[in-house]
Amino acid sequence: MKMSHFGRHGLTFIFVFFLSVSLIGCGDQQETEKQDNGSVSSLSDQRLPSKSSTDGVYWGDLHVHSRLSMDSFSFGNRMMTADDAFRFAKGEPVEAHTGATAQLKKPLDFLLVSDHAEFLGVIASIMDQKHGIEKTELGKRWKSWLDDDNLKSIIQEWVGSFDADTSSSASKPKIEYPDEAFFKGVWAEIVETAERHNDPGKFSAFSGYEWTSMIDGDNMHRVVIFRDGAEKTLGAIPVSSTENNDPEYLWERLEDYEKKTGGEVLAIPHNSNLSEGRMYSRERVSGAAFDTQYANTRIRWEPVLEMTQVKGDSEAHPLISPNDPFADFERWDETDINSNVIAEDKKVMVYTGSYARPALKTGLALEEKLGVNPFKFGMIGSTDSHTVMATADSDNYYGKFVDSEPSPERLMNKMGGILWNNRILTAAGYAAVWAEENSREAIFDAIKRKEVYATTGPRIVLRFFGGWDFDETDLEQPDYATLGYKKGVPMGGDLFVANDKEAAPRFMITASKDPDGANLDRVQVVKGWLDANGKLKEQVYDVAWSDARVVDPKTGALQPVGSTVNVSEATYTNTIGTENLATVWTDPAFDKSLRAFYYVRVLEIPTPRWTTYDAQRFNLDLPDDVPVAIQERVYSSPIWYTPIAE
Amino acid sequence: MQIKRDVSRIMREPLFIFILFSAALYVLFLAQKPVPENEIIVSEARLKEFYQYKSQSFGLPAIANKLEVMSTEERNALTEDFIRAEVLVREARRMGLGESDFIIRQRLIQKLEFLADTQADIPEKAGALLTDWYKTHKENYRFPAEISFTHIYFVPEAREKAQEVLSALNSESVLAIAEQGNRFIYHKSYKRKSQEDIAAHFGDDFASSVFGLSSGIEWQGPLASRHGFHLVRVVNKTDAKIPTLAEVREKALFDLKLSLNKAARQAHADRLRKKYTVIYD
Repeated sequence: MKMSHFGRHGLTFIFVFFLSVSLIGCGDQQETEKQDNGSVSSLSDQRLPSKSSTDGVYWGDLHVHSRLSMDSFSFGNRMMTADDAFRFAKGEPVEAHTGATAQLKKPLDFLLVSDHAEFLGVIASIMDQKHGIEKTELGKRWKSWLDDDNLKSIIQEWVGSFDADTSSSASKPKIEYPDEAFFKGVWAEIVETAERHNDPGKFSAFSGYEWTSMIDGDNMHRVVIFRDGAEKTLGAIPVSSTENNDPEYLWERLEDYEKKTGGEVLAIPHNSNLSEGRMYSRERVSGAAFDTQYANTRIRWEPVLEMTQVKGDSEAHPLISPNDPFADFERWDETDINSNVIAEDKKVMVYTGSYARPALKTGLALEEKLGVNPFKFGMIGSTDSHTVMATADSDNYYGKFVDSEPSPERLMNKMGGILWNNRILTAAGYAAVWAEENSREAIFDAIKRKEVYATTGPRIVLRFFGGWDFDETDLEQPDYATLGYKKGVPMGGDLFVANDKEAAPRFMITASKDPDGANLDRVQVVKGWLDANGKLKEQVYDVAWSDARVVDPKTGALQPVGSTVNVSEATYTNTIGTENLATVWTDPAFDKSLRAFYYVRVLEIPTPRWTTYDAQRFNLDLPDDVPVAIQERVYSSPIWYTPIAE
Repeated sequence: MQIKRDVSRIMREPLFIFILFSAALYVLFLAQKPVPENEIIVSEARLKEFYQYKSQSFGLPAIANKLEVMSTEERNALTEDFIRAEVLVREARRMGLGESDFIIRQRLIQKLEFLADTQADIPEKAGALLTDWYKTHKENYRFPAEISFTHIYFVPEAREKAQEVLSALNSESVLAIAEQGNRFIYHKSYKRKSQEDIAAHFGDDFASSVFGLSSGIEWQGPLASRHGFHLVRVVNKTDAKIPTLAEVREKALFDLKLSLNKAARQAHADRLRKKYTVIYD
């Protein structure tokens, strides 16, 4: 179906900016960096562990937008800045657009304000009359419209300014695109704000931005995150997808930055669920086939995926994983980011390239062929909030845009008046990071080695180690985490057959509930593998659960945990489930000749969905197209098993 | 990837989208009953509605009846807020900025407030202002007490064992500390945590007792928590303190600017309010 050039493109850009983005990632090189553990071992040793992740799980959001993002501003956020985003993340109250006082119940440990690189800060700077844009023709024209509150003309010109030819890799705006000096000014403002809020040991404030490529309505967005401080990051300039919308171009530019400054940077994809299968397609954007060099480059720049956020969860899809009853979770699977409907006959192909689990499986097949796994990614969550408020708690959720902040209207209105229903937004997620300390460097390095996991909101503490020698008694050890590093690898790591043992890999897993949240239902291990016939397989194992429930011997299904949710009161009780689950699990079907990955999914007991809290709070009827309760969850980064050729 | 798309007809026309977009932002509807332009009526129902919008902070118990139990002070403040908002909205409407639901009202207020803000930029001679601000708002900058400690955890049945291990630890140093006790479900060491942070993992009683310990290399306890018992070695503890201006300069400057903006907004609103008569219904 063809649209007019202008309409097609107009929609693309409206949607890009209005819908925004989330995060995701990819995998990385095969480093199996073992942590040395520095836990307290002698009486004279007064230091706390300094080079170990045995104790430090940090919580943060690597994907929040401020008024510097074109869509955030034009959707009503004229005032809230990156400063507000950092203050909010640190636990301070801010005034929401509705006039309500918004505050996190628990502060975050780190934050990246990732404004869209395309037209970065343009309207905000015109409003503020700074960075020289006020002297340009564009600046003067848009200022007069802004003064008349005539955003329509601005948006019309902005959207209409893009080249109608979406098939080319570049889509240069036809209006006066601001010059490099302007963007340097805006970038300096971004860097300076992060520096001001960075407080090593207490709070890490990253510099970065979002590269917002959409190819034919397929979401290819990446958040770019820098490890470095101002002395290096000021040497960067945000890469805009208007220069070139192929991620390979972005990676080249990131490499330029590293060469020039000696700094370090990564890209984190998100909303693969809205990529129409392109994010983890087996084809490059240029149409070229994958080769070893491509695979190496990709995993070098994209070690993690932001796989849960406000625009849905990208772990698994019921059509691809029909035997997993928990795969149907906060799905946004009807369209791409441009609201193009996915055709029935394309669904399998589209979802295979859009969800993390099938992508991890595809990676095994690609590795078999190329020798390198380009999809060897770990998993994190973030919010993609466009109001600066990084909220992922169902009972304290501020939505995506100004119009999805708490109000009696948001159960029934649409994003921007015309897009998706706000009620299908997901109250998710955050990134959990095992790092030796709370600093930009330590957190960045943990992301790079994939010692990270994703949460849909609750701060469930999850440890996951793989090895060959774990046994049940290890779990009884007070220093089990130290043993985890000593005898195995943490989440994000690799297992190989290191000797000629016939043993199957063993996994030591502990999960503890969010201290302020709901009890846990179960711990699951998701295994994917490439079988001897070259077929990709998956299996979900329940490995630990609460309440002495039984597994049905016929179906193998674990009895459901039940529900304590009172819908009209929007409450639940921790009378079911448990505070802590721990196990050592051995793969019962291990074949040492086959590539495999294993990741952990931990489910909470059912709790009210955010829409249920709203219905109670504002005394409204609940729309029947959203669930009343959900099982919030965390997803670990995988541990991979790779056979060594004999 | 050439996938056939089904784009709804209505979406094809960009102009239509823009019309919808602007319509969404600026939906107009008329006030239900005519009220003289310069009168503001304060009624129980309107106050309640205003409060419900304003106080929709999550996680709080239902607020429906809060208005009835409010102190006079709170109620007066709320009334003032309501009047102020009403004045600004009326002014904005008078300027033809449109009218609509609460969110639009809020935007209108912000827009007018921004006009005031731009006149409230902190002058170059901010130094004196900042010092004054800091002196009168020191309490806002208080650093909370923080603690860094490591602990050995014992299940509730093992209190005696904890006591034995404590004696052994503080007499000889041959014990392998890492092997003592039981697996704790959270962490072994905590760095720079507030009492609130510690309470989340251990419960309020433990949090308050651990802040009562002094730092040093000796093991102390056993302290009870909701999990069992803990031997604790406090590596570092900092008391709550009021920082110097130099330590919080950036933050204080930011707050000062906010406060000046707020004052300018209030002055602006007060000027406008003189044009209205308030009627308490």
